Amino acid sequence: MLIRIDATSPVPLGDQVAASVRRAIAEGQVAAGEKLPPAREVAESLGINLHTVLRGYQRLRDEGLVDLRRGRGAVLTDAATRGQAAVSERVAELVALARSMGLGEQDVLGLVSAAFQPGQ
Amino acid sequence: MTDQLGSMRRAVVTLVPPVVAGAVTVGMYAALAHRLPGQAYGTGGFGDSMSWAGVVGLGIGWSVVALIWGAGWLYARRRIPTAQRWIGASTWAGSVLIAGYEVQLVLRHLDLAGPPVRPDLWWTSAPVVLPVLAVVAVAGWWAMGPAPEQPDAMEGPGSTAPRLRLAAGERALWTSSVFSRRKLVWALFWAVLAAGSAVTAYNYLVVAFDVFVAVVAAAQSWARVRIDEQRVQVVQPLLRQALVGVELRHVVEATAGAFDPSTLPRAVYGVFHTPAQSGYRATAGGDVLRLRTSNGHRILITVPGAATAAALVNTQLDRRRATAGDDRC
Repeated sequence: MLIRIDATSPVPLGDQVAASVRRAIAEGQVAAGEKLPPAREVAESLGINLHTVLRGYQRLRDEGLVDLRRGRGAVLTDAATRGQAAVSERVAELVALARSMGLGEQDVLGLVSAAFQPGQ
Repeated sequence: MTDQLGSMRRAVVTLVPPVVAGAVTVGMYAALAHRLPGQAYGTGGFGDSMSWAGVVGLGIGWSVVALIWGAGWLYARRRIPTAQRWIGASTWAGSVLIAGYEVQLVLRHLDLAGPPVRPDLWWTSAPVVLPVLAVVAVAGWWAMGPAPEQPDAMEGPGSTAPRLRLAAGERALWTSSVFSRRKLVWALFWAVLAAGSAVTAYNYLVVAFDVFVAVVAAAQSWARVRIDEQRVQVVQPLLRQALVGVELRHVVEATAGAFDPSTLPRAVYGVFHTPAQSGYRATAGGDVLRLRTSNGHRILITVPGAATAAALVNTQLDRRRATAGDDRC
């Protein structure tokens, strides 16, 4: 799994870490049940704050891709399929795009709901 | 310390203890021969006795084995800077074991006219011997001194070497878990052997050795390969101990491809060191990451996704060379 971060990017570093993991799942580099590298190791290797990495992992947990347990580390859940990771990645990109265009959460949710309507 | 002095120090630290063990064996017997009975009893030999010439010969023989072991290992690892200290640790512990066995045998027979031999001395019990061996091994480890200096790589990856596209400010970490079923089977084999030794013919040193080998094999059955801006490492995840590692400044080029099983003996899994190459083998075939280092030694790591790993290593090497070039300007 390749974790890439760019300090000059407007995307928060934690989100970049999460995006790297999503990409790895989507490309089949990691599978359900596999452990993510310890946050401390990632932080030290990339020269970023431990809490930044943990924020990225927590985002993945909120998306249902990762199970975070004390003493066990971050483990990819059974739900961490390629499809879900790919959708999560697109959603993250959509949110970033919406933010850059000044759109709020409700605007995006409205657009997504509309897109789900039959005939769309 | 220059590299030559370091090599001499490691040779002395490795080879002197077996010589001392042999000298203790001969010296003890020479000094106390007049106070010993005609035979050594309770040695497990024919009729549970052995001639003193046989006892001394056994001690000298094991000392020679330790000497050959140390010298051979030292030669085989002359280009592997990270694997040197174990050599000293092993010959120190082995030599103390040899000398200790001979000394206790002589002391148990002092001023004895015949059998039975005196019971085991208190300091030959497992609770004393095992910690003493551990302390001696640590002392040998420490006495080997710092690892030999490896020269920095003067050339970089070729133009055809794989590379990764990284933005100027981008940083990257590549990591992958590897699991060796065969190494785990070896661990189970040694664990069963330890249990068998404990139940049938109890000898605490044999049991301790079997347990040690089983634990080492189990620890090597699961590892994580990590590549960052500084080094390539194979790390034991639970112990967070590097099993194999190389600094990127010592790496000339990384390549990836399919592992050729004929390059290693069939039974070699987990961490391996040969005079020409070191590394970590988890599988019989599959992807392999190859690193060529500045002293000609090669590092092989069987890991899925080795192509991306090699590309990242070469990209990091390019960056290092570019930075060094900037510094020279």
